[in-house]
Amino acid sequence: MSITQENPRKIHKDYSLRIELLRSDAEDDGFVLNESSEKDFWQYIRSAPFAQKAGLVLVDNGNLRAVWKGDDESHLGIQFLGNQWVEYVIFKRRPSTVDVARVAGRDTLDGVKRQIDAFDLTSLMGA
Amino acid sequence: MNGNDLPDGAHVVRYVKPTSRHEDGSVDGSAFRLRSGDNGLSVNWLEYFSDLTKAQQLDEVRRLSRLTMRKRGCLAELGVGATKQYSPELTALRFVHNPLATENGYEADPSHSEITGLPQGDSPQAALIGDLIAECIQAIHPALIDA
Repeated sequence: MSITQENPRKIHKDYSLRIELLRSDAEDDGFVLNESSEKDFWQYIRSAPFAQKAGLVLVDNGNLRAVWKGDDESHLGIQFLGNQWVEYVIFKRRPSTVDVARVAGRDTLDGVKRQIDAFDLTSLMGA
Repeated sequence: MNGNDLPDGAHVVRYVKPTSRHEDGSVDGSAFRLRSGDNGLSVNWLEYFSDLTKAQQLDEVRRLSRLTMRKRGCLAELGVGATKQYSPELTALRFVHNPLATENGYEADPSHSEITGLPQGDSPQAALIGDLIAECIQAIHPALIDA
């Protein structure tokens, strides 16, 4: 979840290792990684080649969930539902206030990029 | 005390699977989503064991748990009042004492409690609430202690 800039190739390798560990841990607990979710995750990551590395976990339904966090309490969580759909959670501090906007919803892989732009979270992803 | 709300000064712990933890050890909000058909999230009320130290309270939770705990899992600790007061979205939560009786060879689990008032687990609102609850975690304890 670090915001420090990292080499995209290294990030991809780290993601691969992380997914293999999650796959193994899931099998220990009796569930499996949703292959459609993994496919969408890789498509999304490849479409944002300069993205900072996200924290990756596995939801109990087998879907991958990526989380980016910023120092300013900004927060972006994306669960890859498969079939080009995602569930997102966005926390974003409003400028010059203590208020934090919090929204959640479902959208397509392309649609969530528009949400990220609308909340000015591109810096969180390092794009 | 069955069915009663826990006091705001109480603390609870919830077992978190390895797949719900990030690489830095932090807990993802998806650990606080309801499973289909469930009405509450299982937690354990630490202060139920009022005569024990904190370490002993945690040991009792581990000993009486009916879950298969993993070494890279953890027990995430929440303060009841602090969580409910963290943001307007969490004020509807209730922390309810729900002790488990002896059953199917399991010893009774008198500190078992539930978090209720959560949205259905497969909804975006559940994801938002889960991420907020994860921000309220006060401590992370090992799920297993090496002998």
